[in-house]
Amino acid sequence: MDVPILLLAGTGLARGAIFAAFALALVLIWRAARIANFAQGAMATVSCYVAFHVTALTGNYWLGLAAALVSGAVLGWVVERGVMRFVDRSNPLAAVIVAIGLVMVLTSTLAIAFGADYRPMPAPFPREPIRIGDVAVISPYSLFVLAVVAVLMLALALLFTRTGVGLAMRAAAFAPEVSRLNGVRVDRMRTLGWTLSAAVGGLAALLVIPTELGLNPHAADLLFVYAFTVAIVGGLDSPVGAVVAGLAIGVILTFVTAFAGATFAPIAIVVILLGVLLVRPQGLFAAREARVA
Amino acid sequence: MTDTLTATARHDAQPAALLEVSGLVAGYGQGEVLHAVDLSVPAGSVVAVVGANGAGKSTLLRVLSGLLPAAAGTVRFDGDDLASAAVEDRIRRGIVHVPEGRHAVAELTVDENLRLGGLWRGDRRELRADVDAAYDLFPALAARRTSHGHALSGGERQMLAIARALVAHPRLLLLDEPSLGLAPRIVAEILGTLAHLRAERGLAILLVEQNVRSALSVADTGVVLNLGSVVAARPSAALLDDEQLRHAYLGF
Repeated sequence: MDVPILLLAGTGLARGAIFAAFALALVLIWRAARIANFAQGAMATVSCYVAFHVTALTGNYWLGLAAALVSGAVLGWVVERGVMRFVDRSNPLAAVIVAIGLVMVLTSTLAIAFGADYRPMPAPFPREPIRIGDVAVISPYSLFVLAVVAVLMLALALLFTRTGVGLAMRAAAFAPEVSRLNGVRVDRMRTLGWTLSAAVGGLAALLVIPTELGLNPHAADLLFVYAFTVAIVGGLDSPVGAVVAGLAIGVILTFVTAFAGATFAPIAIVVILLGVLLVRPQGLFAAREARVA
Repeated sequence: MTDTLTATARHDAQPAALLEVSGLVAGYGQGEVLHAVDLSVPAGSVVAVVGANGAGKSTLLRVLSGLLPAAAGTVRFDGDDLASAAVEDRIRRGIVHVPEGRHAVAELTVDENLRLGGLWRGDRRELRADVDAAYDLFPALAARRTSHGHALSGGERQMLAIARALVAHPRLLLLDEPSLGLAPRIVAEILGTLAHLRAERGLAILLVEQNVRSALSVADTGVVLNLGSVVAARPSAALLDDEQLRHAYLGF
């Protein structure tokens, strides 16, 4: 059998870029609020339903994409203002349990409103690979995914390193009390962190769904599991870790699936997770032990 | 001559204290730490709060900056009662607190730490000018502008914390133990800079210190706090001369 190495690598990178984006959303919330947001998959799925319907109504993929971003941001804002800010922060388990409750509410609401069927999600570009001569190189959709995620990363990097708001968000994440003493409205930065994170999560889910079975109330469950692994491997408070670990795990999973079969992918994930937790439990890219709430 | 008299009369009728604290009660949980504290800081003056460990000095500053809520009493600043205002709002009025422990944000560079002090004003150009002015006041920081907070020495962190507070354009600086654990030379440098700022900008300072002599040497007024109550508030020189008071509360 002739193995299309190039194609697998490109597909793996595109998949990894989506994992990275979704993991980055988890990192954003972790840094802003010290909460591992177990509801992120369900929240992102809600955004995808909004995008699906906007695209269906207008016939325009790009309007759907914009709708995913906007509805994600709104949902993040609502969840933080309406639910998460009332959670007892002295007990780290409280937020996890509330998040799991949120998953149940969101997922069953989606199932009641739209049913549990898989709906085909349109992709804006073909998923068949471009061929150069006899060699399959990469699909236009994978290129599109890589471009979107690259723009997203660049925008976030600029936000955090070049703007006052970004500086305030980083300071509030690392040292909330010192930040308040310097006039930073830390609670607003936390809300902003949730808003940004949910927008990024919605976008990532929108990108992954056309490569899977389709839209369904559980469509982002697997993405959440992979991205959560990525975030732990990279270090929950490290954006760079999320990107590097995301790309690496995307490529590894794609090759494992190609050579060993799809059943081995979840096993590979568990092996990677265990290995990292044994050797470096704070994550590969965490500068120091992640500060606990 | 007449002008001077009128000015004095007006001054008597309406004492121009920038900060006027009265009947302030505060504590942690059920434990009351401050019992009806009265205190005033005139504009442009330096007031030192001295007293033994556990007298409530740091608690007093935490209540004044809003980190700890007051259970009773008023905190008048420039005429308005701020006793229930949030920390972030008091900074916008000009009360800036530099807590004990030199809180440089470890993950940010010196330059970012300094900019943090004035972000809330939202004026990029002015902020840059303020940060550059802070470098002029503390040249040691200018040499380390790209170093991260965790790489700084104790003295550099203390300078950074004070410089960052100055970037916020304070009218009243609350300084907690700026000399703790620092070499006397660095303490003298920091106190010298503060004296300069007071003369130049009319900055008022409320200084909490264990090191009574050095605190009273820069302060106009000394306030002796004992077990959460004010037992004396007098001109610094008078406090230093009162042997009985010194023996009883200050231990020298």
